Amino acid sequence: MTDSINENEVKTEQPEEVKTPKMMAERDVEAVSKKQLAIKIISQIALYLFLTVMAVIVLFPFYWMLMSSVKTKEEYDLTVPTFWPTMGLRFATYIEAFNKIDFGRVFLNTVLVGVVSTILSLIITILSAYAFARFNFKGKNVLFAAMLATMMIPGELFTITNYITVVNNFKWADSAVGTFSALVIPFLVSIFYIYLLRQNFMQIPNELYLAAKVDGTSDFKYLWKVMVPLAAPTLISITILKMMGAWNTYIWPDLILATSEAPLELMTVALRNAPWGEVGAIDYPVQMAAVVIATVPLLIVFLLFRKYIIRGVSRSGTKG
Amino acid sequence: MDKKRNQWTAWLYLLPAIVLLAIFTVWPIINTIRMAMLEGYNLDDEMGGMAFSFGFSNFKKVIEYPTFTNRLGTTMLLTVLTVPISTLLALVIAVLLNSIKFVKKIFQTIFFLPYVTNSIAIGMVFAAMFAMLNPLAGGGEYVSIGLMNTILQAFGISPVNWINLNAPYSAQIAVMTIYIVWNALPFKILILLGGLQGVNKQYYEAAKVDGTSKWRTFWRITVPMLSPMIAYVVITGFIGGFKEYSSILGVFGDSMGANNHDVDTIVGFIYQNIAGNSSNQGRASAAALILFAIIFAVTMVNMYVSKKKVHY
Amino acid sequence: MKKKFGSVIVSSVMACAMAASICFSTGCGPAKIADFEMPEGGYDGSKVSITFAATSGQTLRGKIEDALVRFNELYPNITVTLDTSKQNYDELNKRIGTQLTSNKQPNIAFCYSDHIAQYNRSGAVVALDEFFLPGSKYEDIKVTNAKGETEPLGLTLEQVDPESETGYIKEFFDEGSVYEDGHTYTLPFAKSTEVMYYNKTFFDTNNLTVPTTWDEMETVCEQIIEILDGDKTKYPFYYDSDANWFITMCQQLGSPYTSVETGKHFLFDNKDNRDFVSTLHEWYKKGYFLTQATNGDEYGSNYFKAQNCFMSIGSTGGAAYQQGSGTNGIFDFEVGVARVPQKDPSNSKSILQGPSVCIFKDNNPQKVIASWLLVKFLTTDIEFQGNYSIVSGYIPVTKAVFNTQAYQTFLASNTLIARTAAECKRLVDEGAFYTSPAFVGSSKAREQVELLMKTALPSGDINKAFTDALTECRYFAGN
Repeated sequence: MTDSINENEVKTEQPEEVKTPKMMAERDVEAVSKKQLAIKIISQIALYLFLTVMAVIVLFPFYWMLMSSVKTKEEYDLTVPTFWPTMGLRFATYIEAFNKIDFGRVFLNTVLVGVVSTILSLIITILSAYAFARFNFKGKNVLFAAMLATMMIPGELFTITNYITVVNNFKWADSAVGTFSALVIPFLVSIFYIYLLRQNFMQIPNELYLAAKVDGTSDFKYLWKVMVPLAAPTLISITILKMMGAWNTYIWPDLILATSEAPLELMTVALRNAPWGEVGAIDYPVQMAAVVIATVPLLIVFLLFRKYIIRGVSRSGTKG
Repeated sequence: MDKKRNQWTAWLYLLPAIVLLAIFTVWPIINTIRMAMLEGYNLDDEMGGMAFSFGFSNFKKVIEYPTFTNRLGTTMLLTVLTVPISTLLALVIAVLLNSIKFVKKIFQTIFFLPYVTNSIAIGMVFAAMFAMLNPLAGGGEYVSIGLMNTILQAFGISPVNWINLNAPYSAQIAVMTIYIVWNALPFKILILLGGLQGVNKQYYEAAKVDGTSKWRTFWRITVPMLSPMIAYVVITGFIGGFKEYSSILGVFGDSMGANNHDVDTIVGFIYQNIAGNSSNQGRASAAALILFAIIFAVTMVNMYVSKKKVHY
Repeated sequence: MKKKFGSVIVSSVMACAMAASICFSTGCGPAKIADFEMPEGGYDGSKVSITFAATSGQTLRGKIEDALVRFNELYPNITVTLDTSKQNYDELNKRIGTQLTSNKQPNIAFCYSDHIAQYNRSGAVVALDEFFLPGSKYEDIKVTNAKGETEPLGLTLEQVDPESETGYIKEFFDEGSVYEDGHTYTLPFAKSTEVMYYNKTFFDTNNLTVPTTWDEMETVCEQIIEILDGDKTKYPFYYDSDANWFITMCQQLGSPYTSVETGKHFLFDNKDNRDFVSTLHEWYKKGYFLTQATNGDEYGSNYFKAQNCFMSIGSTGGAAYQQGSGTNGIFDFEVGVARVPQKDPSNSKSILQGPSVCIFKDNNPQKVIASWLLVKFLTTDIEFQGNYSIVSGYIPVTKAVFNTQAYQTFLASNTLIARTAAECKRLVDEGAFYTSPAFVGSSKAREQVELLMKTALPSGDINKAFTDALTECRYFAGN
């Protein structure tokens, strides 16, 4: 760890050295190319070191989560934490976690809520972003500014108002379908995503649109056949963020599920509300094991998606 | 004629979003404004049948809060520090991830992994890294100086009290800055890397043929092509930064600082008023609107700048 | 463009205003809470289902479930849903606060008096006075259970008489009426207090006497510091809750803390209190103790078990965590239990904690009566109260439990939990428990004295700590 930081400091000198070979280039081409090769190798090493250090930093909580999940309770409770389990590994935490939470049922509920809200949210986001990126209509800028403005009001107070709307006025907590709606519908529209996708749509050259018009393609068809495939990387990002959101929201589903009798317990609610024990006696490694179990499906889905993010989408359509 | 039809189609596309926003966002905002305008408004009192008079005293009370300026200052300081640092770091990492050839896939996977790390784990690891443990009797010294100080010691830096009792304001701000940047990094990398996929590879090929230096390519091609996404990340970063709360809670717990709400923010004040034994939702609403005015002004400046610089 | 912008803003503001006025005139706001009126004849035996929100962990939940089975033998038509998804009082309180806005609150809930002060702003809690006052409205109402037995709906005189040998413990029952209006809103469910655990082995080896007063505590601390001989990693004692310490000191010294009277709520900033905080600051500097707030919210039991402190003052609910590691009943060291040091040992003062239960109003009055029947059953049933306290170390709320065979056997078992319970029983017999008044702002007072201790103990800046705390209380809760 210490070594890599030292190496990293060496790296910062690189940009200055880059300039020197250029001035010398006139004198001795051969020497320069050798030097350039050396610089290239050094800068590659520095680059990888930088990425490695950042990767270690970014990955640390992930490591911490895995490592904590197999510690003994005694070791976890030590006032000076250990950075790897020294008092023996305890894989039984995973069995205990399975005993505390009905992961199968909770997983299905979460996937159901997550997938439905992600699909609906994507549709709404695509339609809205398209309207803002492609159409010129009266009040467009004002509407867009107003929508952005809604992001700027701290939403902490919205929870109570929305609870009253959904439970007291819409009576959604009184039925299973209603409860499902209450979990999905209030958060379908995200200005963050509409804004993000609009930025992406606006990058797509106008020429494509005009060409499509000449071909007689309708706006709607153009959106699905051209815009959406071109914006695939952003759409995938949004999908990941939305799915993660479904996996991580707590306050709202906890309120709704505590009010309804529908058996729709979601992952975070199950994780937080499982019988961990009273304050001071909580077996945190078991809790961590539960968090890891909850994470695994996400990890798998993510690794499947990764292929698409990294490969991106062929840009052949945007020549010119 | 066609133009008029065009108008209606646009609204049709926006219809689902507008309906849902009206119910679940605009209505709560209206309610927030109402609560802010009712003097001494409290939800429980309202349910109990109490009537409130219209007025602006909630706003006055918020500004009169003894540590209001401190909180505003901390909020702004954290925003101004974390947004540029996290954006720049994310940009560099995203570009490097996009440009490397060897073990590219492995690195790209690694930088996405934090996404699936539960936030509980992130908060705990942080406390473990920066906390000094077991003060010695009489105070002032510690049994263990903690991991971060041990690392710093290797560089000849003497131990710092980062987040424990009596920690200086600057140390707490430093920790919060690192924490927030760290937290924001995966999201920003994701967005920027997504944006990079959208940059036409031909520009780079052309630059390569011309023998343009990498540095130049970065500033002349990558940054302009990525500018819509950078603008997005910066603007939403500022908006999120002014609403900072949960990360401070994650590191310090309810005391929102090493001592007594040292690094608390405006949203922290809103939370203090929102529920519980002495709640005052009128004051919380007024604080929310004051913060809105500040964020709105800052975003306007951001938008103005980005309009000039962003290349679509 | 400018003109357009203006007109759009004006029209959107108008649209908003219209939407708002329509909404409020048609009742978009929070639900109204129905007042409770006792129906003629009381419980009509109809089928009702009620919810009970408790914070009990897995084991204690099992004890409640067992009791519910027996309750249903008496009242088969009352279906009870037990919700223990929240194991934290404040989180439960927050959730109920929101649920009240839509009339979706549980029927019965675990609570502290601060929570009741909040719920009462909307008048959501059923006042229980008529269920026990002699000559009250419900005095003549009887209920017949499934076994054909008839009992009074309310509490009997014997149950509420402080002199009786079987009724509610007086201080526990009186906690139900610590509010400005003097009505009773809660019944005690299971109670706890603070005691001092000490390292008996260490005390015996070094010939130390267990302190009963703060003066003796000072002497013992001096002696321990001497024994430690410069080892700064160890402390004589650890006090878990800074707020409890402050409030208990106020009680012991007889100095004001808070009052229920509007306009005179916050009285803790006085000379006596500044003096004792100043003394404690001197102790802190000498390394006599640590507290949770001054030490990163860590529990003293961790220090105690590792023998890094020799006395640990904490909740009786945490008795089990004070025992060090060991096998087959043989431990690193023996743990002794004593009461918290006092100013005047002949007039002990010990804080009263642990959950009470309240009943919320409901559109269906039968649900309220059914809830009352359950609350009465759970708080007075000897078997349930015994089972619940024996596994947890909580103090049962009715004296009748103490005389049962099961409880006597438990006390005689001499485990750490049993010895803790025995000390609690002595405090009960002495009537040592105190409670603080509850009002809008009472939880703020508690929060602020904790912060006051946290900042003043290490820094010694006592004036600033007191002034800041008082300013904060007044800002958030008026006077």
